[in-house]
Amino acid sequence: MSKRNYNVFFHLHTVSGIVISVGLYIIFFAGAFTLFEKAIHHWEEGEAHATTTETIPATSIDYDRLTDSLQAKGYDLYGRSLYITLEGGEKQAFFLSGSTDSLASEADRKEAQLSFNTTTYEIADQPERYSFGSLLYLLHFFYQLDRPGYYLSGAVALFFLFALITGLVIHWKKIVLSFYVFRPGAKLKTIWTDAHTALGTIGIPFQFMYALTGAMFGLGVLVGTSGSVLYEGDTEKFYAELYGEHNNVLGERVEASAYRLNPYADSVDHRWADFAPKYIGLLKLESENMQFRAYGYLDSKAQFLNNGEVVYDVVLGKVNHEHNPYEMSYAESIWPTVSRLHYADYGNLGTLGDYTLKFIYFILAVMTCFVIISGVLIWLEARNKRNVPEKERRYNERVGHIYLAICLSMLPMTALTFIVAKLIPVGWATETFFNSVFFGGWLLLSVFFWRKQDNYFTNRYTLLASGALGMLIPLVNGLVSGHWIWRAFLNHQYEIFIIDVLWLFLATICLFTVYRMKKPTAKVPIQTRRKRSVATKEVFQPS
Amino acid sequence: MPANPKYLTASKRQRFAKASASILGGFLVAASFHLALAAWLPDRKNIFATYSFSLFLVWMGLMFIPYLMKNGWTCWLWYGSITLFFSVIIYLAESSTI
Repeated sequence: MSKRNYNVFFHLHTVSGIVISVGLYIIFFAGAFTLFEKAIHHWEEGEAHATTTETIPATSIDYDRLTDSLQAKGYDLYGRSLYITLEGGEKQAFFLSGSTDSLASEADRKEAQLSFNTTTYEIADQPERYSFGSLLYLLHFFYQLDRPGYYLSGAVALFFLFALITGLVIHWKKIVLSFYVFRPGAKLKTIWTDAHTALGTIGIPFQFMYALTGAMFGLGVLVGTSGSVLYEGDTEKFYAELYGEHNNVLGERVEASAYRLNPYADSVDHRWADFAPKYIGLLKLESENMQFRAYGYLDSKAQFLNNGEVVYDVVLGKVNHEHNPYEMSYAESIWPTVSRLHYADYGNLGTLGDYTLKFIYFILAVMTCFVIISGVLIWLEARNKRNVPEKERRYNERVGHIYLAICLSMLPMTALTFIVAKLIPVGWATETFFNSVFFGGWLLLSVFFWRKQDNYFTNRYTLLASGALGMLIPLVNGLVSGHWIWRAFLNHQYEIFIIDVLWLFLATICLFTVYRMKKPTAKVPIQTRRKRSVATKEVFQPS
Repeated sequence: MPANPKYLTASKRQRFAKASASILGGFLVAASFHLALAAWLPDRKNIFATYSFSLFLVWMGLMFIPYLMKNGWTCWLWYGSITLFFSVIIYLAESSTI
C-alpha cells in the first residue's frame, strides 16, 4: 500500500472512529447489559422464574376457555389479537391488542396487558411494571428518541463497520507483531495504542458481526425502500415477495362458538418431532380470517437455526403458512441467523442456559467499550504535542474531558439504578420514573466530572463509585427480597443469581483497578514530557 | 502519529465531493446493482434476501474508493454513470415484463 493510501485510511479510521465514539460506546455498554434483559426483569421482580428448558406444550392452555372467560368479562374480541408467551406456572401473562375494526368502540380499540390463572381461567390486570432492563434495551438503539434514534443507531453501526475495516487495513501488515506488543511501562499514548490494537484484534470477528447485524437492523429500512423501486414504490409488495403475502384485511364477524381453537394447539404439538411452541398468537379473533399461530423452537442443541412457525386458518381449518424448522430455505434462514448471533441466543452451553455464551459476549462487549475509549485517548495523546497550537490543544483536552465524563459515568449510574429499581415500591416502576432517574443522574454525573476537568479524577471516582454500588447490589437484593446470592443458586433461580454474580464480578474488577491505580506524577510540564519520550526511545512505532 | 496532512485533502469542495460520493454515491451504486440483478435474474426472493445484508457490505467497499482517488468529482462521474447504467437495465427489465 502506498504511503498516501496508508495515510488516507489512517485518517478515515480516526475521523469515523471519533465521530461515532460516544454513540458507539453507549450502544455497546447498554447492549452488554441488554444481553441479560430478561434476567434483569426477573431480578427486579424477585419472583421465582424457573429457567427450565422443559417443553411447555401448546395444549397446556385451554384457549376456548380463555376466550370465553374474556367474553364473560365483557371484552368484545372481534378484530382483536391475543398473544401468549408460554411460561408455565400458575399465572400466565398475555397481551390483548386493540380491535382493528374501525367501527369498534373506544374501549375495544384499547390494547391491554392481562394475565389469567391457569386453573380457574380468571382474568386479572397485569400491572405495568417497567424494567430497568427495558430502558437499557431501548437505549442500545437510542429508541428513547423514537424512529430517528433507531436510524441513528443503524448509521453508527455502519460507520463502526467502516472504522473496523479501515482499522484492519492500517494494521494489516503488522497485525501479528502489534498483537504481541505490550509496553505497560511506556508513555501513555503507547499504552493506549498497544491496548487498542491488541484488544481490537481479538474483538474483530465479534465486532464485525455486531457492526453488520446492527446496520441490518437499524438501516434495514433502506433495503425495503430501495427494493420497492421494483414495485412502483410499494414497500409492502417488496416484503410480500421476500416473506410471502400477509393479508391484513379484517374479515366479517363470525359466530365464535362455532369454531374451536384447542384442536389447533393439539396439532401444533404433533406437527414436528421435538418442536416446542413458545409464542402463541390468536389473531383477528371472531372474524372470517381468524388465525391460530404458533412460533417455537427445536432444542437449540439440535441445530443452530431451530425456529419453526405454523399458522392455521381457523374458519377454513387449514394451514395458511408454515416454516418447517427441519427444512429451512436460504431466504428464510437469514434473519433467524442474524437474531441468533445478535442476541447471543444459541449453543445452550452449560447448566445456565445461554448465559455462559452471554457472559462471553458481555466480556467482549465491555472490551469493545475499552477499545473505543482507548481510541479516543490515542487521538487525544497524539495531539497533545508541542507542534499543535495551544488553542487547538485546549480544545482537544476539553473534548476529552466531556467524552470521558459521559462514558465513564455510565457504569456507576447503571449500578445506582439497579439499586433504585430494587428499593422502590412496585407502583413507582414506570418508564418516566426510570428515565428521569437514569438519564437525570447520568447528566448530573457527566456535568460534575466534566467541570472537574481531570481525567484521572473521573476515572478513579467513577470506578470507585461503580465498585461500591456494585457490591451493594447483591446485598440490597438479599435484604429486600430475601434472594441471597447463595439461596438463589440453591433454589435454581439462576436468573437472579446471575445478575448478582455479574455485579460482584464487575465491582471486584472496579475496586481492584482503583487499588492498583497510580496517581499520575503531578502535571508534567510539556517540555519534560517531550524529553522523556525521546529518552525511552521507542523500539517499535506502530504507525 | 496523526496521519500526515500532506496526503490528505485540504479543499472543502473536494472533501464534500468525496464524502458525498462515498456515502450517497456508494449507496446508489450498491442499491442499483442489486436491483438490476433482481430485475434480470429469475430468483428474486433469494436476491432480496441476500440484499438485506450485502447492501451494507458492497456499500462499505464503495465508500473507500472516493478517498483513494485524487478528485472526488471524477468519482461522482463514475458512480453516477454506473448508477445510470444499472437504472437503465432495471427500467428495461421492468418495462419488458409489464
